[in-house]
Amino acid sequence: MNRVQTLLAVFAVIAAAFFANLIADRMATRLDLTEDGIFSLSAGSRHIASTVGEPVTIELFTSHGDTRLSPYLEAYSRRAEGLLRSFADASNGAIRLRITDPQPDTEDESRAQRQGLAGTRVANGAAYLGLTAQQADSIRSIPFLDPRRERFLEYDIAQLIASVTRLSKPRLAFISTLPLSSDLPQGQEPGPGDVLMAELSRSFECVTVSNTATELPKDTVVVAMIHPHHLNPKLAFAVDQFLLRGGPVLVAIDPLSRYQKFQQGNMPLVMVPASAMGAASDPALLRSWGVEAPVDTMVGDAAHSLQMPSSRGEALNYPLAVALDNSNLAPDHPVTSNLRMLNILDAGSVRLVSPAPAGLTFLPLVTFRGPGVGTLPVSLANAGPFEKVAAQFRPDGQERTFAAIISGSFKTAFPEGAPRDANDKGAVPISLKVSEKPGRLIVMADSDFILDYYSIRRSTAYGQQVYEPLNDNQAFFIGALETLAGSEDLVGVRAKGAALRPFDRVMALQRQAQATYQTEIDRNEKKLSELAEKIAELSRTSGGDLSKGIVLTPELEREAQRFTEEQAAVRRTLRDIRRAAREEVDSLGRNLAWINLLAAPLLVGLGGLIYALLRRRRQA
Amino acid sequence: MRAFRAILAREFLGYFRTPLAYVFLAVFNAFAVSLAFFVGSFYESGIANLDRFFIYHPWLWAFLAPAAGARLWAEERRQGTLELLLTWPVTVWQAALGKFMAAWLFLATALAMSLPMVLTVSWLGKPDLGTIACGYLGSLLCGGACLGIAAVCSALTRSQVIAFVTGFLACFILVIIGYGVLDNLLSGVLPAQYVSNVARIGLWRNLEPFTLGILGIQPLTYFISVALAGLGLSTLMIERR
Repeated sequence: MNRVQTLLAVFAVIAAAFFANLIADRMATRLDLTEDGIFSLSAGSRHIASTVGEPVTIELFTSHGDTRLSPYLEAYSRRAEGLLRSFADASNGAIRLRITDPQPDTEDESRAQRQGLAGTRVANGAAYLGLTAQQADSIRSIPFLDPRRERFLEYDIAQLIASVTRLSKPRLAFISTLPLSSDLPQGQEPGPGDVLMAELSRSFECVTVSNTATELPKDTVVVAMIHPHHLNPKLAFAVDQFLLRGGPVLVAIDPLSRYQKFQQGNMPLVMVPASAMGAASDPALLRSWGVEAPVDTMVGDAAHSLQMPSSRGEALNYPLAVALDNSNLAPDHPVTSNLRMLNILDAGSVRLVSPAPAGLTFLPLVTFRGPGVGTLPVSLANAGPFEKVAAQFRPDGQERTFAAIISGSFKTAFPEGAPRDANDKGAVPISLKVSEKPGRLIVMADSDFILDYYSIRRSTAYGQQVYEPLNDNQAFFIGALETLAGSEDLVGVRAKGAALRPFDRVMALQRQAQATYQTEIDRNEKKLSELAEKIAELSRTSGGDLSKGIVLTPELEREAQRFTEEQAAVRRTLRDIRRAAREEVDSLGRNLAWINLLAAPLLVGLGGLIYALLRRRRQA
Repeated sequence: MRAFRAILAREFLGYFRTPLAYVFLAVFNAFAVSLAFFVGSFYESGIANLDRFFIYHPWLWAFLAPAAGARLWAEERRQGTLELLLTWPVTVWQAALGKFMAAWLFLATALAMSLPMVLTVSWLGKPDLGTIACGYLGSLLCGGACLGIAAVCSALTRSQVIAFVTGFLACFILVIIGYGVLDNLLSGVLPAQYVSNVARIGLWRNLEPFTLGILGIQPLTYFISVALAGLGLSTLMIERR
């Protein structure tokens, strides 16, 4: 090879490497090697990503520079970035991903703040971990990616993209006798369903409708009736006709609304308007559609029961409070397939009337099954303390449905036509008598389970109010409404496996240490507060403020001195106990570091020795 | 093929004839473990994965790969054994590939010795083993890319020391590019989109997806192309002599 040829060859090698990378850059092929496929999008997300239309820019704000996230949040940020890339890859270039590190006092940071992103406080400023999606003028954000919602990360992103690309959200008519509203006055005590309504309004335009209203809002896409009773007949008729026109309806019917029972308990009877009363829902409308949801019996399951406090404060397995799991959920329906657990108290049941009406199919979504299932009359369940109710519960092992989707041709509940009052004049308007299009109806036999008390834990993390789901109650309810509204894409995207797995062993150690030392910590803290009390007492009797040194007698002064010394000693003891509690965890970390440090040289030494021996034998 | 295998075996075992190799193996793992535990807060993070372990690997490879690769050609040239090797019934390409693969295998040995870390994390929690395997693959490829660079440096000089120093510097640049250290410096000179493109040739930027459990065609191509280009260029230079 002469000089020119070599130069050409060198050039060719460099060019080949360069172009290979250029081509690879255009290819979005990736293999997801994680056990749970956490970077593989579900069909729903892929569909959302591939049908965004106009380009969407997703911007991930994540702080890496001078103000940086904690290692845990940083790991979560990388996990989110990986998932966002999956969305971008699935979009054929329609979704562009931008990663921004918002340095303090820069244009990037003020843009993040304008879009409602909240920084978490770190040593030297605010660190960000948030997300915005923009399409043309429309922009939406997730102010803070909370690692505790990791299982819902894909859903949250899909939801963000869907919401920014949808011109208008589907309108949801929310008929409820509970104080559920998306526009409750700010700054007051939290309502029973604030989180629920906030989550709902991410997917829907929620219009709250009172049970005394006479019609549904215009352009309603879905109707939800929560704990319906004392419905205005005209409203009932409007819902009836909506269903018969093919409009989807969800009914949460309740044999005993704990919420309303509790509310009424606090109010003098005369002050409660009749239309707002009723611990039990009115099942009449459902029955005339062909669906039976008895409100005089409750269903329980002794094998899935949760614990409740007895009147003496002891924990008690209460069969009417149940934790339903995979064995109760329909595995192959998009609404339930991704759920893991529902917690339900005082549930009813649902079935078709007998004889079953022709043309209706009944598909159970959540079923009570197993030897522990049984019923109890509401009158008994409502009467006594939990231990008395639990004693009266007799399992019969019969299957009962908690929630079902009923579809097909419904018959009207108003065969006589629209209900009329004195003011109505003229001929009865023509109304539908049977479904003109196949209708879809989801019935759930409880209303309390969707409320925040039963499904959400609020807490403060990184200086932010965050809430985490206690169970999948709200996911089930919202998923059901999304299915009915036709956004089936989102239903397919629910819970996922988690990538941030904890050190189980360290956590167990911490718990154990906590348990071992807690009594000692409690005892010392009690002693500390007693001492503080004594010192305060002394300062009162001395007629002045001890800290300012106004002490009358030398005896009192000595006494005060003694207490202060004792206080310091107890504080030291407490500090030592806390350190001892931490010590085991810390020393495990140190030991592991040493083991790992020494392992490699030992392995190397051993390997070298064996190799040398083998060579010597061969040479010998 | 037989010639290739013979060279591979000769070269690979050759590493273990010098005490230096054992020192390297021990140093690599001591650093890998110390960085993960004491700098990366692997234990304190409480997360059952090896992110905090892999994140320092580009630094380690930038050091160890030139160390292992410096002797690829420089030594042969200094001792004059290159001519001897080329009198074997093998082509230059077979010889080059054999030597390169032997060096890579040596790096793989060093990496395999970090198995106690996998045992540790599996004992502490339930890590995603698919992700960890992917991380190891990425790290090994990253080492291969560094070795490619080292091979070129080794082919350019007779001195192992010069080969090591130049190789280390070249890898070092790729390391710091990946961590975005140069971003701030470059952003004053280049438009933003070029800066982000520069960062993409950094080692960590390409290793990161592997550590998450994503086997992407783009980082895969990056590492393999750098390794192959290094192998090709070094061989061309040897052939030219």
